[in-house]
Amino acid sequence: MFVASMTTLFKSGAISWERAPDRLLVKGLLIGLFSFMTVHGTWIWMASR
Amino acid sequence: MLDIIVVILYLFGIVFIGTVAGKFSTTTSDFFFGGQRFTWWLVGMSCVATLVGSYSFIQYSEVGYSHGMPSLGPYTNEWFVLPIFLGAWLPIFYYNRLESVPEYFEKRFSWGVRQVVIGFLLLYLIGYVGVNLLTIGVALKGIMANDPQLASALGFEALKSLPFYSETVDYQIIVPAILVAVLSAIYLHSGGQTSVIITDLVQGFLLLFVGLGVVGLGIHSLGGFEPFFSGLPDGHKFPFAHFNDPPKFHFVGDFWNDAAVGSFAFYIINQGILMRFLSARSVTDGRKAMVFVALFMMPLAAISVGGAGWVGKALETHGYVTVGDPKEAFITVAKFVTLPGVYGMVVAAVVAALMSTLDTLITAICAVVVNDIIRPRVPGQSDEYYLKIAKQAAVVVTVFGLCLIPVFNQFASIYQALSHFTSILIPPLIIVVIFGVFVRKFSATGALWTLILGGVAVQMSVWFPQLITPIAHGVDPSENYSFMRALYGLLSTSIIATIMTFLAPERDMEKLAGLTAYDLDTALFRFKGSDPNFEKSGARVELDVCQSLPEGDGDNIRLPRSALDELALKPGDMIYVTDTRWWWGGLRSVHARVAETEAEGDKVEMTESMFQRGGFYPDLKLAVEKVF
Repeated sequence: MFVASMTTLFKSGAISWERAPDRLLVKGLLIGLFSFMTVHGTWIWMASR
Repeated sequence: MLDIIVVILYLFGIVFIGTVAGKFSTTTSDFFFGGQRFTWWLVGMSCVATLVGSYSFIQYSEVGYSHGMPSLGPYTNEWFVLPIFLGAWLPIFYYNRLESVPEYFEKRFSWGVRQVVIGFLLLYLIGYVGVNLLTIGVALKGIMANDPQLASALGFEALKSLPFYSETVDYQIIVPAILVAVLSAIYLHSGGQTSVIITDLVQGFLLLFVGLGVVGLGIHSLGGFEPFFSGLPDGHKFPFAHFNDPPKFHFVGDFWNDAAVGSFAFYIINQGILMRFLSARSVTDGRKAMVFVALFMMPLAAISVGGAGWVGKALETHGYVTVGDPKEAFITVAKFVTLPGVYGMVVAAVVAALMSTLDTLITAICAVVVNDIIRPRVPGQSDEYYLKIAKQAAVVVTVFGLCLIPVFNQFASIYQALSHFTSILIPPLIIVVIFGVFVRKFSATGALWTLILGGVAVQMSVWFPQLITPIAHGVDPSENYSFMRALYGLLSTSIIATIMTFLAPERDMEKLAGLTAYDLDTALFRFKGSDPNFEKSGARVELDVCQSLPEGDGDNIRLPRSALDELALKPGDMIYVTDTRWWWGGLRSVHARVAETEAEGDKVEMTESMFQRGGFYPDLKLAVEKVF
């Protein structure tokens, strides 16, 4: 769902590498989601030990 | 007694802060959107207080106690809505200067669709106001039931001697609700969104501080993390619930009902939340605020509201407390870990959770009343006229919300009918928004029929739950698929919208300019009035200020050549001028345009009225930043 909507936004031109704020947005989202997933992954690993 | 003093001091403190902040609110733009001047952290922080509702502490601590850490689920689902909100919805609203959700529906579709959405939105928001006021009454009544001394100290016993006392009225619900509503109305009347953002910042801090404090103190009294974790059953330790069982709380239901539908409704359709992000000083700051809220603040808030339940379970395992009814987990733990005076802060936090949600909803209703009902019917009036109406609407809506408390309290069926009506229309509205943004051929006729037939399709599933069985992911039907109905609603309405796109395609593509995800550049151009300037430049320059420009110059300001070069600015570019002290969060700031001529000295030159609007000081430097 997340990936599909991001792809659609890129294809439609709503998010574009041409615009500096959009580059910031995508970087922020990727870093945020990566941290989020890492926290959850570590948590599941700790809880299942 | 100390607890009561703490609560009273807190309430009056909030009203004072809200009223002082209201002095920065002089136009309808300030009243509804805080003058679009706030920085991301202020918007994000204030948003947390709004998102945490009056009953959240009690409700999520109950889930935390019964199911453990999966209670984090509903507050950590926001990220599904991020792409469409950040990439399309927020910029479309911001750049087209749209002031309400129904306004988008008229611009993108038609007058008729707007009227349907106005009716729906008003029902949704006003119902929410009544429910919030009722729940604060119920929450405080619960606190007083646990603490009879508090009720008697507050004078509820003395009420019985009054001549108009009636056994049929529940004063412990009504009186706190009236008090909170009146206090919110005072600062709302004064400053609208500007006051809401500043007071919600304080309330957000309090909520997190108290919630996390109760969790921290609980773990401390258990003797550290080791006894805390060992006191939790194994199933309580995982971050996610079981896939499809038990029927009242399961992962797949939480995903479809809360992540896919609930979060969409909250961020895309709830006028109040949208207005908060539109109060940011730029789209970039609105986006940063949303990422901050979804990925950092909400997980923190989830621990704050649900953590007391986990601690309660561990305390019970080790024999410190007996919780009994899971609904009392929060109050039991808070009383166990806090001293007198600190417990008063816990009560204040519960009140803060209500006030911050209530003030946002009332501002949102005022915006719909002024922008969607009054302005189209009484056009061409001065801004003061609409501001006056907005302030009056704030008071009327609060009184109306109060009148709903006894109605909702005594006739639960009315509230159930209202929430049932909104729940059957939310999935069709979400699909209409998604199709509206991403499918250019989706027309006004298509939108109207999608709303009607989608609503009918969802209602059919209430009468015939077996319609949901094929997509129920194995969930037991005993709870009437209350969670899985969300997925059914999205699927059935998508099919209707797709069919309608082929049956009645949009032909007038020009009318869609700037309103879909395909041509945001048009919206950007419209917002600025010329081509945007995204040339790479320095972040900001700091300059002294002088109020030498004549009043006729509008929003133009003059900058010295050095600043123009540093920021790669051209005449007509949009800039943001702010007090250099970051902790003002943008309260002292203005938006402006670069004038045709350069400043003669080394100062930023502006008109006196702009200087006043920004709340600037003559002897302090100002920071200038490029917008685009």
